[in-house]
Amino acid sequence: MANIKDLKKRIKSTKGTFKITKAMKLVSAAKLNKAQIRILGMRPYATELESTVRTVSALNKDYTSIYFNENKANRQSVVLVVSSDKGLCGGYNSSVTKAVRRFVKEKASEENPEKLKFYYVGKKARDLVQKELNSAKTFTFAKQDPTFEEVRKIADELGSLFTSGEVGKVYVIYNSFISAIAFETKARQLLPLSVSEEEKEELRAKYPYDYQYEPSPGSILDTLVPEVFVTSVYAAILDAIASEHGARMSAMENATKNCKEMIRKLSLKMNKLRQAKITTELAEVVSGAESLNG
Amino acid sequence: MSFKLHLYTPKGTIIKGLEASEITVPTVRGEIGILPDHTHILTELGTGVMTAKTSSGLRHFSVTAGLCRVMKDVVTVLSFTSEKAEEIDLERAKAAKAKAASRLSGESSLSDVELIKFRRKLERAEIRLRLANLK
Repeated sequence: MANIKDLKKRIKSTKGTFKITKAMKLVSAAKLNKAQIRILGMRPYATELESTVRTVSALNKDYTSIYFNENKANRQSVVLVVSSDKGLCGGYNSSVTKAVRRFVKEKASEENPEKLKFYYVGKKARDLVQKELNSAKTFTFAKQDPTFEEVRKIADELGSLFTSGEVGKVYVIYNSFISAIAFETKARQLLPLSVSEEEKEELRAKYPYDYQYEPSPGSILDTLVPEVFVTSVYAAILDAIASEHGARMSAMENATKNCKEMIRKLSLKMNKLRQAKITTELAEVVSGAESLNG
Repeated sequence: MSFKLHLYTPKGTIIKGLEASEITVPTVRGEIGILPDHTHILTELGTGVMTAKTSSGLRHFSVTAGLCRVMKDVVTVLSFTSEKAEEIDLERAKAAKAKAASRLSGESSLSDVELIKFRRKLERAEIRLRLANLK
């Protein structure tokens, strides 16, 4: 039987954990707020830019660019895996890891499978999968929140692998932010920007008129297309950061709740034990007095 | 007659659905004016000041490289960075300009990267000053 002293110790340590998880929750909530503003501010820009590029490329049939052409002979691909540097964020990193494994399996089951090479942002998922995969490099940032310029460097590095013909495809796997308590793990192809024929037809039907271009559709696309790629990488990283804080916040909230419940149960047990002890003592005293009086 | 103006940047939405009756936008080939019922146009943005005429007066914004799209009665401007004239800190812009100019005029020890960096800084500061004066 547990004694009162042990229970007291456990309650004290649980209270300590409770304080920590509560503080972490509050910190994550504040960080989530900031991250949420960033990703939600970024999204309209990213979607508008991408949809414009898709539309223009569909409307201009004769435009070709290295960014649009799929090089079927090139079977080398790179994958950027975005996870977090810190743990204690629930299923956040394990769902990225799971998605990576699923992705690898899917690709391996295809005919003439692509050779995959992995780049990482955040070390948690890397630590889990790097032994089983062909891993290249981990990108790190000076601060926790990367700047656009830092992300541009990453994107330029991956983009140059693609434009030089070293790799045929660029993918990204990350957690996309939905709300403070939900995220969705996505695996997306970033390069080449493939617009399927059906999609092209659809876009052409939607825009029966063409734009007037200044200076020319080719030169506009030439400047915009690399921008779309950088923006997508940046959006993926911002998405991942916002989901990380969201995941950590809800994980810590659960932990706090569990701590509270634990403290309640332990206190109850301790009080019961204490009462039982007092009752026994009383009975002893009373019976002792009785025997003396007798 | 009016149309709607959206201005998006990677750092956030600057304006959304602003009712404007006329705007001027700097493009790579010089400024263009856009009135209601303009033809569909897609153009590359230059660096400079964008002005929108609204029912409550003129509003000014800085824009840098990006894209301007006119479609039906919606004008969408995607700019790499953008600021509202109201938000410019005049003193800071002046100081930044002086600093960039002194670095550019002074020593020849600047590397190519630095040269480009300070030229851009100077350009940005000048746009900010122009914006601040338009306020």
